[in-house]
Amino acid sequence: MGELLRIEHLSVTFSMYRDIFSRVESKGIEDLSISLYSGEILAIVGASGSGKSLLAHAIMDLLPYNAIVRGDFYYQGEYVDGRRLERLRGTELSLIPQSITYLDPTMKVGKQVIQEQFEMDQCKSIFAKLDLAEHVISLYPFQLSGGMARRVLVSTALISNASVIVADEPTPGMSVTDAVETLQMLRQIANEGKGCILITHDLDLAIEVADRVAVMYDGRIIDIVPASNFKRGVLTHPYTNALYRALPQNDFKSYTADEVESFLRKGGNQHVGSE
Amino acid sequence: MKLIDNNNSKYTRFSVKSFNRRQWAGFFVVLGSLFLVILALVGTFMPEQSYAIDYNHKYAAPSLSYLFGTDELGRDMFYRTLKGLALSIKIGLMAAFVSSCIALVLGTLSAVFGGKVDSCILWLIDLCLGIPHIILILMISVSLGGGEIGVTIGVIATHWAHLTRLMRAEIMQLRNQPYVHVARGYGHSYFTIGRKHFIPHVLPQYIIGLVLLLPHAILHEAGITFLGYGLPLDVPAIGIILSESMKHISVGMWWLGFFPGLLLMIIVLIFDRVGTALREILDPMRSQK
Amino acid sequence: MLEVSNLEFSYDDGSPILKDISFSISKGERVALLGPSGYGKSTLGKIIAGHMNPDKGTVLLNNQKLSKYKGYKPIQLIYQHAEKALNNRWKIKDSLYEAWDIPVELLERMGINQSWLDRWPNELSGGQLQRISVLRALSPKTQLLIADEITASLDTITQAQLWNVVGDVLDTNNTSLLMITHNESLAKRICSRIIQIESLCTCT
Repeated sequence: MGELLRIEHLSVTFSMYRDIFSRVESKGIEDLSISLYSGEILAIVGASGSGKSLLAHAIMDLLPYNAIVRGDFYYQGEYVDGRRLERLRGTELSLIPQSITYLDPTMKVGKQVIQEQFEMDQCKSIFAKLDLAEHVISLYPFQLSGGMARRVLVSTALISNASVIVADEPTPGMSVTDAVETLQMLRQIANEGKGCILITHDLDLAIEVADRVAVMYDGRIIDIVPASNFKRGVLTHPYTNALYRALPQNDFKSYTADEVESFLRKGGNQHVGSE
Repeated sequence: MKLIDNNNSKYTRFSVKSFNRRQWAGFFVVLGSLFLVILALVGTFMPEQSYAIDYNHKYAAPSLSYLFGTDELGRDMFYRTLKGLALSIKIGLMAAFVSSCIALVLGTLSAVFGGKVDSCILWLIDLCLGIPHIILILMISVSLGGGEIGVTIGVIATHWAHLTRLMRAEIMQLRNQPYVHVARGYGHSYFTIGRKHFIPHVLPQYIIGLVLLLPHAILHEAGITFLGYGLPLDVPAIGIILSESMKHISVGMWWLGFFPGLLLMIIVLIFDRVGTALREILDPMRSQK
Repeated sequence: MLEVSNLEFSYDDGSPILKDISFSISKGERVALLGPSGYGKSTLGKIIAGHMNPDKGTVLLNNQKLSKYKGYKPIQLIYQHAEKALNNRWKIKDSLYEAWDIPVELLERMGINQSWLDRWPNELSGGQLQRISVLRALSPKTQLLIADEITASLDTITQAQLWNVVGDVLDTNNTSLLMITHNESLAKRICSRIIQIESLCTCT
């Protein structure tokens, strides 16, 4: 497996006012390093506020204006500077929008997918690949059913033939069958040699679909494990283990605050050594 | 190489100096308000002799003893201008205050009751915004016999609409906040919720709106007086001074219009900047810059 | 105890979301309302808690309308996003004691640190804010607690901790629970009865 993307020492800081006149800097992500390989789905799990969405937004340049981003960025083993990164974002990195509201309601679906830079033929072939009927091209977003809408959203990310696909919380509120269907599309994408980053707070889902799971806590990645390790029960980081045990379908165990703290202290940032 | 070169990219949208933006804004608000207050006080309590008629010094060009020169009756234009501006500020403050109160009451009624009350108030807003301000003020002022009262009422009647719309939107949006519903569930009365949740939220918007109304009110008052439908000729109003100066501008007495006009513009600009700076400090939407 | 009958609700544009919904919950019972988003689960929760009015139908608690109860309402709703249920211009302690006189012992049981009380909402994490928000709704006067996806955006450890305490307090006060969720395993852990929203709703 070839390395597609490597981010080293990423930090995201926000500058904000604590009261009327004094400004403070608050850390969103601190010294985060991660690699994405071709053919894999890398799930990033964590609670809201752990920084997992910030990571996706930092990659796709979607952060608000008061954010400061620092870090080194490599694409297929090469250093990438700021200007080249801007170009990569259009061609090699692509985001699957979270919901249908990201589409323009007054524009036909086909036109939005090709975005004035691709051919309609490309759109047709992508639609064929995702089992979407050709007539969907001339529908408006409000005419799409739930399943169609999800495929259209995925096709907007696939048309550029990008090799890195970022999916930010693609499944919240979906029924289990819909969620599985969406994630199967991700699997299909990964099988073509692309890399998928799946941002989710649903550990259960991440274990089902991803190849590797990265656990975020308080702006850091504290552990990266192969997804199969969860079911085999070989979790070396005590915090990751606790996350898994606390799932309602497992032990639903309630740990005390002191226990959780000691897990974090004992486990540290394990992935640093293991990679 | 860096993901983002921090000194040379669009991510560098501010720099941390010893004074941040809000502190600068606060500094400006204090300084600007101080200047305006002093001007208004000096203008109001100035003895009438300081701009009395003095035929010995007719048509004097600006000099050290007459900073802004004198007019055809030998009146000191510097003091006349100060008096006129103080009057303008007084009328402007009065008008802006009353129309912002109207805005607060109507905006709240509109948002709280909705339905017919809301449609009725929206209709009034559209009616008011649909007629050019200057014409509406002119009609009201003339029909009330002109003078200080006529102008003030004219300005009040035309300036409440924008702020009403803003207040209405703010309160409507607040009304549907989960924390307001939840507070109702704890058994708090509308009165308590209004006092503790709504007022602290709406007050900054209200103050900013009030301050930003002032320059409009002042300019409209000056404009209507300039056209001859506002304050009477014997009052040293800035509009009167400017319209009188028009008679002399062709014979080269530029100072009669230039200095009063310039000062009026500066005052209006200061009000506008103070309002903008206040927004910088109080408006939560801009609070993170 | 709670009796919901023939509830109907449509959006402003006229599209129906809830149609002829009836069910009841008895004292101390824990019921889950399970199903994907788009079926009006949250709307139903808000209507029962009195945060919204239905187009038709009634919600009765002990044969009385909720509006007849004065003071702290016996039906309390907790929202998924705690940061929206707390006024972000208020310090934590002001929001906390806005609800009721919470004994210190309960703060500790909920895992709320005294040092949080003097902070602003944006200085705490989602899980910490949700603890505050939950405790505000857990007075002994609460007869029915409606929990709308309250742990859906939290990590599993916090989720288990939170439900552990909530379950305890519900038992102590003999409070009923209506849990709105899409997580079937969680619903099975907490509740004794599960209502599938699809079975209640005739429309999508």
